[in-house]
Amino acid sequence: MVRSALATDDLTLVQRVRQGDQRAFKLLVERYQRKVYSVALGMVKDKEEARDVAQEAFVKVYKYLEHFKGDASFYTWLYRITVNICIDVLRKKGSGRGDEHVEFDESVRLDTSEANLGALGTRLGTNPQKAALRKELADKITAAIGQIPEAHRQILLLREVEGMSYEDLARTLDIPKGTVMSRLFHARLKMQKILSGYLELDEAKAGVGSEG
Amino acid sequence: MKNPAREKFLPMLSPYVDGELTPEERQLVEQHLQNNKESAAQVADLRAGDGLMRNALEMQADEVDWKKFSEDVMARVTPEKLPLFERLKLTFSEMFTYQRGPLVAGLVGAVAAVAIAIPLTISLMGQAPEGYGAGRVEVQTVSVDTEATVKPVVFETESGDAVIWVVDAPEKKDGGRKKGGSDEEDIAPAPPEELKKQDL
Amino acid sequence: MTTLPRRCLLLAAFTFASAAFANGPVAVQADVVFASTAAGKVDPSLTKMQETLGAKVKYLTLEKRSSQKLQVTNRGATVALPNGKVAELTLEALKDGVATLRVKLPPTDATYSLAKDKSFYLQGGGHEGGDLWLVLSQPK
Repeated sequence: MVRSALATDDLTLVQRVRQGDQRAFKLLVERYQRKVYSVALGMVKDKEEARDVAQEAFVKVYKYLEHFKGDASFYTWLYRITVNICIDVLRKKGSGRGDEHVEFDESVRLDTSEANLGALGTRLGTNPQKAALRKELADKITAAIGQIPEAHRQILLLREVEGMSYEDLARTLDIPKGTVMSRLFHARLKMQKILSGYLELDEAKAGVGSEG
Repeated sequence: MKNPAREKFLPMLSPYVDGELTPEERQLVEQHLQNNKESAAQVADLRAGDGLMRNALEMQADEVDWKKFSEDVMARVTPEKLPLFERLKLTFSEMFTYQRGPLVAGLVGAVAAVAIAIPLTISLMGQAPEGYGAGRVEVQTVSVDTEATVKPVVFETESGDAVIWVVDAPEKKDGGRKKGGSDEEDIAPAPPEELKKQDL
Repeated sequence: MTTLPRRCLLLAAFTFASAAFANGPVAVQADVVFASTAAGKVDPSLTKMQETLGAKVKYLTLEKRSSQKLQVTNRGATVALPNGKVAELTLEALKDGVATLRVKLPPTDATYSLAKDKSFYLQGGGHEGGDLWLVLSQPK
């Protein structure tokens, strides 16, 4: 993805942090805190917990900065740490990936017959505006993300929140690019089903609006 | 899913939305979308779903106090205090990196202040210190206790110093305070001849 | 560090203000000198005093018994002499850069104006067969 050429790039900031420049680290935190939190929230579902996870992720990044080799992007490393902390938290809570293994199987043939095709696109347009979302619906959508299998959640969140390329997703999640492609599609179909359900329920309330 | 063309293109719809297809693949998918309403609807769904999710998460993130969040993180990672010199070095280096404008402005201000202060100090050094603005010491009043058997004798030297002698007074004089200039005659009615200014 | 330019301005302003408007205590060098006509040593720093007073008395011994820098204000400052007397110095006025000091050294009570690099000598009574002098001057 293309990042602003004006902002100091991540690796330069990392170098400065290594030289003891605390301000550089704060810039990194400020640059990624919202997104790291969003990923964590999508993963662990609880706001307080997501905040703790996000903080922990930054603290770990700082602590292990010497181990960051710089051969990958800083942000893929940061998200990998974030996702790993989320996984630990979920395991401790007893909702680890083991429970979801069957549902997560990507060899299962795609079935879009129940997806109520076009429902989302028709109601929302291709770019639903943030202002048109009601708070409670936003909460429901966040909860919906929590309903899909953990591995699907990870990839979907990293793609939607950070806009990671397939290559970066593969690097962050340590999976082949082909898997990224199929896993992401499976994750999206699952989300669509859930969202369509919410929209059916929410239709009368007109909680979402389309662009324009 | 009965349409074989749709079945073939279905896995490509997600990467198509993500812009991860090659130009050739992209062209093929777009041709397919023109001919297949189901796939076109699905692409619209994917885009809408993505937007919905992204916006919902952003809304949740809006609720967080990010200033406090970053401060909390920084409080957890702040190392123990470095030696003063190291801290100054770092502070200067950080300022130079992130706030070069204000730093330069500050330095220019400091240089200007020094440029003004130095000549001022030099000119002040040439001047008399506070209270010493006169060219010569002048005794303005002098008196002795009324009971005293001595009298003051004042003289001022040509070089600008002043001396008050206390000499025996054979006859008791008026010891009240007298005001006047430096003229010894006004202050000491009977100065010894040898203490007159011209003698000193 | 947005405060740095502000600090510099404040510093500059302070420098100006302190230089232009200060009106604090007056610094005075107060030396107590034992003077005797008996043969002895003259403190090298007191040769000017020996010359100044020489027309009246040929002092052959001049010794500093105490030397202190005082900050004289209108609340006063004191100098103790070895003969038990105490000189009391008070800033009477400070006008146009010229300070007027009142010096009470019993039985004498005098006021005088200070001058740059000049000294004020006040005889402070007898002591050990000689005289004690209070010498007030501009601190070096």
